[in-house]
Amino acid sequence: MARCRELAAVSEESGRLTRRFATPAMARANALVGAWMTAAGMEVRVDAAGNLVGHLPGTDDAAGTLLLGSHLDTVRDAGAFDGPLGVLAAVACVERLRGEGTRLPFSVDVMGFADEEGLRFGTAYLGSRAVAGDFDPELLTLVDDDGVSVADALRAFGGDPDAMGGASRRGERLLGYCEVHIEQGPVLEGRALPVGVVDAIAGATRVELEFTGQAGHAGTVPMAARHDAACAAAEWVVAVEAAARREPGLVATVGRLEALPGAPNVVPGAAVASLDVRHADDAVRDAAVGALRAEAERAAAARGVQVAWRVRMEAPAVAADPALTALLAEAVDERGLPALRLTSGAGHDGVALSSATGVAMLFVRCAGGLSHHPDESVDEADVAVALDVLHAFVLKLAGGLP
Amino acid sequence: MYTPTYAAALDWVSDRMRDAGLEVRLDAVGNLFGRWEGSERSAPRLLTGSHVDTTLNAGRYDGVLGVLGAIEAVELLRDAGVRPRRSIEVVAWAGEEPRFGTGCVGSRMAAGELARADLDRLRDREGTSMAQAMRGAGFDPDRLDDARIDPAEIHALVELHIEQGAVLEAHGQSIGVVSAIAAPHDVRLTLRGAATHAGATPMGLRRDALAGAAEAMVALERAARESPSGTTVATVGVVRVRPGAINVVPGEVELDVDVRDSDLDAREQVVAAIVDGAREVAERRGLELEVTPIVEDVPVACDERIVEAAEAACRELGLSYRRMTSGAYHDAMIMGRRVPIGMVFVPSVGGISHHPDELTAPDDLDRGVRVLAGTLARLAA
Repeated sequence: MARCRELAAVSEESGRLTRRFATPAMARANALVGAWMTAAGMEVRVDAAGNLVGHLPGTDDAAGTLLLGSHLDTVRDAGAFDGPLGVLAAVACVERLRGEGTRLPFSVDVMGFADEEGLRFGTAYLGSRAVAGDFDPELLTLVDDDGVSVADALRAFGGDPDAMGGASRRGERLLGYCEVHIEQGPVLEGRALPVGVVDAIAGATRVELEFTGQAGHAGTVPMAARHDAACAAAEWVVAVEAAARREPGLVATVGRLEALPGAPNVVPGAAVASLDVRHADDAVRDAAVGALRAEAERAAAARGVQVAWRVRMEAPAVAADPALTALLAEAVDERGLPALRLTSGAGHDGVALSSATGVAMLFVRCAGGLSHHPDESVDEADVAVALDVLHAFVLKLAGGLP
Repeated sequence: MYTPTYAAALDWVSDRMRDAGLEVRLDAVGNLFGRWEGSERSAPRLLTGSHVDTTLNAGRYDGVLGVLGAIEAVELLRDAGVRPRRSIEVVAWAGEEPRFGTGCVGSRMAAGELARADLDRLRDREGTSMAQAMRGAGFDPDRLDDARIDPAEIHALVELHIEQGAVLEAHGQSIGVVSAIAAPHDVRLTLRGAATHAGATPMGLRRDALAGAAEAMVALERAARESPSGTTVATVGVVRVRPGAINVVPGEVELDVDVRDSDLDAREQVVAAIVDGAREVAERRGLELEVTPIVEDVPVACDERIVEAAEAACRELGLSYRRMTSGAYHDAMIMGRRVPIGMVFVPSVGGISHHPDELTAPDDLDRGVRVLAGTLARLAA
């Protein structure tokens, strides 16, 4: 935890934490964490995509590699734990294994992924997709707010955009990927539990809606003659919430709503809204999205308003690897704690890695469910539980090998 | 108002006033006057005009017709050889449309309804105070009182305006003679909950400010539809969602609420229903509610003599007309609390206003100017 706080001072901006992909601040973060990895006895490198990799060799070359870690990039004005906690927990786990003299048959690679948040280029899991062997070369031409491309940013960072395949671990014998992460939600706190075991990372659909009615003068157009786009949108927002409450495990959020033209004395002629729907079961999510679209059309039609529905993103759910997750749950159970299974509503690098290997995640309780905010905080005792569980998980994996 | 574009518009209008032989004067806060001297200088004068500032992405006639139409009406009277006993002043009031949250600030300042402290308090959406904007435009906010108009010096005020509604069109009539102006009661409702992760926060553990605000908006629409007068209108024209990100549950929402009626009791019942509804929603959802008063104006009745003068002008010209209530807010309403006022409406095609498609047929514009001229001639005699 002290290391999380020390790392949080490595920022692009003074006074607050912002660390984007392939920036000088990321290079300093990689150097700092790399030094900790070296001190823990790992061989350290930065791969072609800018991911930090700390390698602990096993006793048996044929036994393969277990991936641990999380991401080192952050959102703007971030907290200290989203991402770094998972990387530093993995480093701490390796330190403990070395300290107690445990020799694992398999290698352990601690990953510090370079771009989970996607703040700089609007990308998703650029670093971990490269590791999974799924890097899309078209992304190299994306530019940031300053007009710098992914390729140029990577070159300046010491990566190699022309050899992204070098970062790929696909085809190797991978035993799985296990990530410790803060929950970023309030469920563990509500259940008074320090940790929880993730059973799936929810699939997500994002939609942009535009309701189009007719603008009019707020004083002269009688209520019965209005085509108020904002009222149609408001009725739909209420319906979205009600529908999500009815379906267990479903979350649906309208995060943006703007009335246009946006003057206090004008009946809104248009309203723009966003929708974010997530569920662990893709069929449930698809059905919910369809129902919410019908709700939008109904609320619009009741007012003579049109609605345009544009799907901006669709990401399928990722189920956690049952065998790895069972080991994690056992490790939690042995600490005398109920192994609460929860769905991760947030996306993680595990989504990208799931195409190359099995994925497991351990969530750590965070205060108030607060995340993506400088007040993000975790309890030291909870982190100690997470470290114990991760350590036990690795030993179980070693013990279970043929 | 108080922008370089607005200053350029005032320059252009000043030139048109001078072309019409009017004596031009800009007051201490940016209201523009063009005076046609009457034969009896000391007699209380007539005011006629409207505004030349616009709403965002506006039409061409809202306000502008009342200023340019008044200049044309003066020209018509002069060409017809009329020599008015009372002086007639054409006025372009500053800031009818609400840049600073409150409308009609030019006429409010002339009526003495804004205090010096209000000029620091009222701010536009960029956070610029009205006082700062005035200084930037070359006006001294400390000279506010110089803009006051003594009601005893005003015999009548007449404003020509587009209807901004579809009543005249629906009845196939040329002119609306306004009998009363509905007034707004505006409040801002701020709902505060908790901004949390859209993926990681289960529905049951959210305090979603937008879901609460949306419920309040639906209740607002229903309250207006069920108004006892049947004429109340309620609008949420501005919705501000914070932080406003696709993957964050909204933590704070502001709604700008506008409620209007010429029936004051009905309007206040609807406002109370809206605020009570929002309070109930906030309590049930564990949200914090703040109700900020923006403006609360009293509906104003037009002066019967002016109404009759306008009707007489219509009859003389052989035009169909109706008495009607103005749902929109006008500068005349502000002055109407202190001096006798009247308004003349011309039809709006499709009732469309505050929109680039705003249109009044050229013949109807011409009829409106002639009715205004006839009304002024009667009142100035």
